[in-house]
Amino acid sequence: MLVVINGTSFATNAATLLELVEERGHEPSSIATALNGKFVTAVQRHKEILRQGDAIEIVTARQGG
Amino acid sequence: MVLYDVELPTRLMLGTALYPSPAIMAEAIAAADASVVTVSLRRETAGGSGTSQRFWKFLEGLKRPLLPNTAGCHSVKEAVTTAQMARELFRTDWIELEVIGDDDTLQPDVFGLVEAARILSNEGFKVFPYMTEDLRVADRLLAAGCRVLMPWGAPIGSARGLNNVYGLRTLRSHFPDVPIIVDAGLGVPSHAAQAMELGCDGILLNTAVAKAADPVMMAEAFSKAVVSGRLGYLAGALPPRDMASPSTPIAGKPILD
Repeated sequence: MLVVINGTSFATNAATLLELVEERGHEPSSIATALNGKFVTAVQRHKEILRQGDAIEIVTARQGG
Repeated sequence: MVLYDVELPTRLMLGTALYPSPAIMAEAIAAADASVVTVSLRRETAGGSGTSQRFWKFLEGLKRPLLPNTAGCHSVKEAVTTAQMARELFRTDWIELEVIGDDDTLQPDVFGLVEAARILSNEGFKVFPYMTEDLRVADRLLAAGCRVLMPWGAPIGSARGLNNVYGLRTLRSHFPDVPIIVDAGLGVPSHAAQAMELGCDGILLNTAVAKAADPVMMAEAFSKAVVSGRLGYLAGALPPRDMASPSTPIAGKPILD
């Protein structure tokens, strides 16, 4: 299945957003996620079933002014 | 200064972007004695980049309140979703709310700002709205749940200082009990002092310090300017006048002509 992660297409075997986060090796508490433009909390990631073409945003802390 | 029931030891808030190095940023934050440090959130690479891991450790070491922002957001939806992600990521309900309306000036879209502020306040956020100095916008933001106003001094990163002194003075006069933080556009310490002399409660800045030739020295200079400006405001300044008024008494002057 192809999904779009941070603007780039990737093939994944992950069934849920949680599995995708784990597949990509993220530290769960150091990131925040959105699926198709909607915020998904860390505790809800296992309930979000991924579908072909889903757009996922995975963000972390950065410098800001 | 008390913001959302949190008493802060100083009136200067400092951003974390654009410094020559992390070490200089740390020194600048210390030299500024910044009471709050602003941060943002951006896309993460697979596996977590070394950059983000180092930045997390840096933030933990600061032991100062963090104020995440929604910098770069142009729509209400984008800003609200970014704020929601920021709350989980940084474990704070404080959010510096930016809804940008123009790419050249980075002027806030005040219509979107008010709407986003209402949504976020209803969700329990403590919103710090990046706004213009418009009185009606301020009214709407307060009605939406904001308890702090953050008018711009000038466009972000422009170093122009206070573009609308009259507007800031009027804002101060209309909302005497609401904390006002001048956010953005300052270039030199005297700009900060001027804002504080007008009665503003604090300053939020980044670029003027980070892009100075010596960011650490500039951070200290801004810190002192903020304190000086505040003292000047509290001391009660002499109103300006058009004509001279001699400071040396005329009485007793000898007649020598």
